[in-house]
Amino acid sequence: MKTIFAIPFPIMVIGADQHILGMNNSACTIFGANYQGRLYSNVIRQPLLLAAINEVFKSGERREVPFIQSLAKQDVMYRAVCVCSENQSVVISFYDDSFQNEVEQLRSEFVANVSHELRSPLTALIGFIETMRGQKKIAPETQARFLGIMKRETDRMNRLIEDLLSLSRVEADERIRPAQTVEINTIISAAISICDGLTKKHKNEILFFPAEIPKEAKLFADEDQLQQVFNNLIENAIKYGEAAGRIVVETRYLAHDPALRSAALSVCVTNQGDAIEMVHIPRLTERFYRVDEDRSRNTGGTGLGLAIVKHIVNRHRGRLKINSDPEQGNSFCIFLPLETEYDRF
Amino acid sequence: MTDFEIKTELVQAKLLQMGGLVEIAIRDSVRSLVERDCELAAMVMSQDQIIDQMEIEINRDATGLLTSIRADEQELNAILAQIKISGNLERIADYAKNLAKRLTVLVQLPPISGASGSIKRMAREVELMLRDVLDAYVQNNTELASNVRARDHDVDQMYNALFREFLTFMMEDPRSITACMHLHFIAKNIERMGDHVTAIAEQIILLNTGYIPTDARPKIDYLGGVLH
Repeated sequence: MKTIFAIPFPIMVIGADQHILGMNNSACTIFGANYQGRLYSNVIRQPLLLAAINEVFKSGERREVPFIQSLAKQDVMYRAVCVCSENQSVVISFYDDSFQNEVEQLRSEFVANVSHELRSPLTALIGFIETMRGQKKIAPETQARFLGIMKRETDRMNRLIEDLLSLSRVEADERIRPAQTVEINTIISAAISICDGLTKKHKNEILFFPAEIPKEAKLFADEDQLQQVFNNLIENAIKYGEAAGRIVVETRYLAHDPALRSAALSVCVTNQGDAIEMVHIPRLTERFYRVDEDRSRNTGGTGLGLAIVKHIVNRHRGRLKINSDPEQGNSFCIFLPLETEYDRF
Repeated sequence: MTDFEIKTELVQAKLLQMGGLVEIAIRDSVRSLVERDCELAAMVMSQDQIIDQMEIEINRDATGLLTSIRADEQELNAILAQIKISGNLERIADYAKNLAKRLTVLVQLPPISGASGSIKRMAREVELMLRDVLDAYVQNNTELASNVRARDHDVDQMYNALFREFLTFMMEDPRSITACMHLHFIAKNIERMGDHVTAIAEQIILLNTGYIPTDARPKIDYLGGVLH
């Protein structure tokens, strides 16, 4: 009996006389009190579990049933495993299933989302192909227009698949810490150049304030991945900011960042534009999460950009912080840990 | 455990088992509404017969106790409480059954957006209240019972808000009147469920302290003002 108090998940032991012999602390938490000595059917109300215990008493066979703990916010799903033990007692252990269920649910949501994202451009393509096959003669201008739209949709699908592969690669590497050192300012300048076309189109002005980083503090990173991060952030800043607005990219050296517990480098990309409501901010890095569906699609967004950024930042053991202020604008800040050679090993 | 406790143990177990079934009835009836699931609704309706049967059995067993033991006042009250609580539980289950019944009409009408969410939240409140009051009964916990009693106020407020919301829907779009009327009855039924849970809470307090709480549990309704 004493053993059950050493076990970290909820356990209840019912004696042959159908009264509870003992409950450990976790079990008391689930049921709300210590019901030692009480008849078990006075304590357990859920019909499935009651039936299972009954059967174990009768047949001695193991039974496993779901058990729900109703908490104000959310139900917690357990699996209750009932076995016959010494002296005809029944031991019930509760296994917390909710994490697995959640993972399963996230996975099927993801698959559903990807299918949905691919279906829209495909439907458009099929429509145009059917139209062109059905008509004997199509005016060259119309044909040109159709082909233009079809190209746009295939590009969209291509981007989506690129991003999915990207995400997959990043996740595969996530546990492996980068071993090369990089120059952050070079990467950021490159990102700004890459977005040049978009910048001109939106008539934006991008200001870059690089910081002085002490020579001993090195940034260990995957250059291509960091390039991807800043390409994404700056592109987002342009696409979702106001036209002809100013975008500021600022790096800072921090001698000590309390959250990362080391010296750190922060890079903040700030734009001016519509503020992001508080309710959206915690979800921005979710795959396919969009604040404004139509705007995102029209600017060619895949919905995966920030998810990729998040995973890359995780791999680099950094943090991403998002802030939205009506005066200051919207800022996306990345904090990356810096190391001296002595820190590494 | 005292001799009396052992004797009433079995009746109490049956009462709690009934309570467990009622918790599920509330949960499933609302789920059938939100998901527009007629099969689930049919299951709720047939389960209600089992719950009705249990009330009859509890009444029989409890009165059997009264005739067989020499009970003092306290023990008499305990047995009476069992009978009353089973009655309250049966009424709550009945409301759940009615909810399920109305669904079969509602699925044939266009859904009213936002309504099922509000009703689900209200029913969730009542479900948690019932769970806590049954726990309070087993634990002889008057504090928890008082807490449940106070929470009924929130349920009343949710009902009032829903009432106004349905009025607005109906005025904006007369085609929604039929559906809104049904949904309003459902909301009213859930509010009545809350009142029955409160009655159970009051029984528990009476049993353990000897007093029925008469302090104001303000009943606020749409007409405005506070009725005592």
